[in-house]
Amino acid sequence: MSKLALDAVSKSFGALEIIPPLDLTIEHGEFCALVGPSGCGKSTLLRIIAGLEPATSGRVLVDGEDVTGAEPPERGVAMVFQSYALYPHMNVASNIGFGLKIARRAAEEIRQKVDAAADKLRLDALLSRMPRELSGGQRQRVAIGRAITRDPRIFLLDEPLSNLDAALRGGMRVEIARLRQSLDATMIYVTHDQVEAMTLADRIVVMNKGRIEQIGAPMDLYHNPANRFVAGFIGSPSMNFFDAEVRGRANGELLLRLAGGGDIVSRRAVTSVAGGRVTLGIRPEHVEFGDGMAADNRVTGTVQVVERLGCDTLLHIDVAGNTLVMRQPRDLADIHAGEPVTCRFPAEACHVFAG
Amino acid sequence: MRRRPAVSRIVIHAALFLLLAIWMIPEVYMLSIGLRTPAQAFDATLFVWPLTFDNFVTVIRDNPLTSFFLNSLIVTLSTVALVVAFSSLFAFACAVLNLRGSLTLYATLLTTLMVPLASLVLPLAILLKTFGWVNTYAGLIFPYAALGVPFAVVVLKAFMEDSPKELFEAARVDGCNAWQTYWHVALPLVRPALVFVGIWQFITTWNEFFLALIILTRDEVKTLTIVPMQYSGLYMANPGALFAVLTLIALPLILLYVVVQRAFVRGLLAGAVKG
Repeated sequence: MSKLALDAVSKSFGALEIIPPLDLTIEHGEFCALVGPSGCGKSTLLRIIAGLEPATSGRVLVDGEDVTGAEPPERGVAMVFQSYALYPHMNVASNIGFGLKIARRAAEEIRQKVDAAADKLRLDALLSRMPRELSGGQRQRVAIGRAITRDPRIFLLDEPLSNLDAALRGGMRVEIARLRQSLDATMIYVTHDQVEAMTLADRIVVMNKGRIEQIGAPMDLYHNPANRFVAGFIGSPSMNFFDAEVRGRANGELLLRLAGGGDIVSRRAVTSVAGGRVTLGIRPEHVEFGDGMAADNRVTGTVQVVERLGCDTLLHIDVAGNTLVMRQPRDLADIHAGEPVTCRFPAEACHVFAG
Repeated sequence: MRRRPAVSRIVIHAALFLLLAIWMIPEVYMLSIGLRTPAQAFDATLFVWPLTFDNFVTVIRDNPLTSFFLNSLIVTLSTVALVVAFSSLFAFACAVLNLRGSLTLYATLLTTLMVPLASLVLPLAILLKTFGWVNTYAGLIFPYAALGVPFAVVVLKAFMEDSPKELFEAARVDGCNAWQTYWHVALPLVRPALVFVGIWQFITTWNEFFLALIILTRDEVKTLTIVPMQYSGLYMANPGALFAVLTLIALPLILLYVVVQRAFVRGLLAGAVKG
């Protein structure tokens, strides 16, 4: 377990700045997820931490020690690659023990550590197999095994589940969560999948265009997104957004008028919004049916698509030219496409973002 | 894969056999003349009867073939080892390490592929005489290796560039230095290409005649390819013996190809389709 600190680290390729100077501290034993859309710089940042990519400026500190110019093994990091990066000419045991062999550890120690990793990852029966004889999930476990045998100070995982199919990904997610508990290690996990980040991480760093948009615990990001980007990125399905205008402010409430018509009151943190044009955001799971309730915060629309997912139902509703997604924990058998519906936005669930 | 109709397969096989036959005519003719009596040597027919092994007996009796064979083997294997070692290191430096200036060196190396051997023979002969390498193995091994390295670098660099970059990065994370990455990861990854380069170099070195003729004058160091010269002159010719010795020279290459043909073809095709 180690503490990692990035001090004004930046990365440019020629004149193109990929990551403007940023600071980030990841505590001992923390599981930190770097999330963001493709091309946001999260993998580049991970490679800088690993020592595979030199930072253009700034310092990388592990337990207070400046390792900016150090090679990966000197930093005490191990990395699991998106493509697994298993050596195709070595069997599973050799792949897992390769780092120890290079470190000139005794054969008996290598054998013990390989066996321990195989036991932990349920690879015992596969040790003599070649990578080409393994399934995607097994390959990923071997890649993780290779990382854990070296007892690194920090684990780096670069989109480790993105090459797996949906079913396998769910299973491996649980495996990683279990592994994390048994290893008690500092882990940095890069993903573009917010579900992975939400379910695995202690803390999430949301990145966009090389910048950190927000850092926080998963539920903190979910409930209190700092801006529209974070609000849209965290949560599935994504938050609904509507253009609106501030009409007034009183008793901690903000009165908004939607661009398509309709007045909405928000009781959420509205101090950062000065006035004028804003964006109203509401999560699909917070939208309620408005019939028979108070007249405030209601919008009407027409159901376009009904998606019955089993436990939940998603309604895609056309509201004055905007699509509102509503999530209900029922099958809603009596609602069909083309029907008019009235929805209500609870004032406590209405987020307001600048612009 | 969809199976071709029977008629189509027969036509394709017939065409392939025809091509094979055309390709084989020079080899069969070489063997055929080697097995003829002197009186039949200039017969235009492909096959004659009776066959005789006299020419082979003559060649073996007249020449210390074992010594020549060993000389060829020493020169060829040494050249192959040097070419494989230097070209793989050079390719690794260019393709994986991206060392500063390596691409300029690579481009310079490529230009040497365009220089014909004939234009190099005179300067080479002077150079080798200066080094005192005339009539030595080194006098052939080093020029052959130098001439073979550029082509081998082109092949191996392409293979290394096609290898997943993450494997080399994984090796770095696992603690490998450049040498360990080369030895434990890069070389095994390009093994089919190494086999191809090795066999190619073996064939070209084993068959090389021009430089060997100029550099080697003493029997103790002569290679097999010079032997046929004895049976072909301005006022004298012994085609039976000439073709018998040519058959003997070709034999090791044919055997080598039979043994490693799978690896050779794999080396030629590897990277042609996405794995």
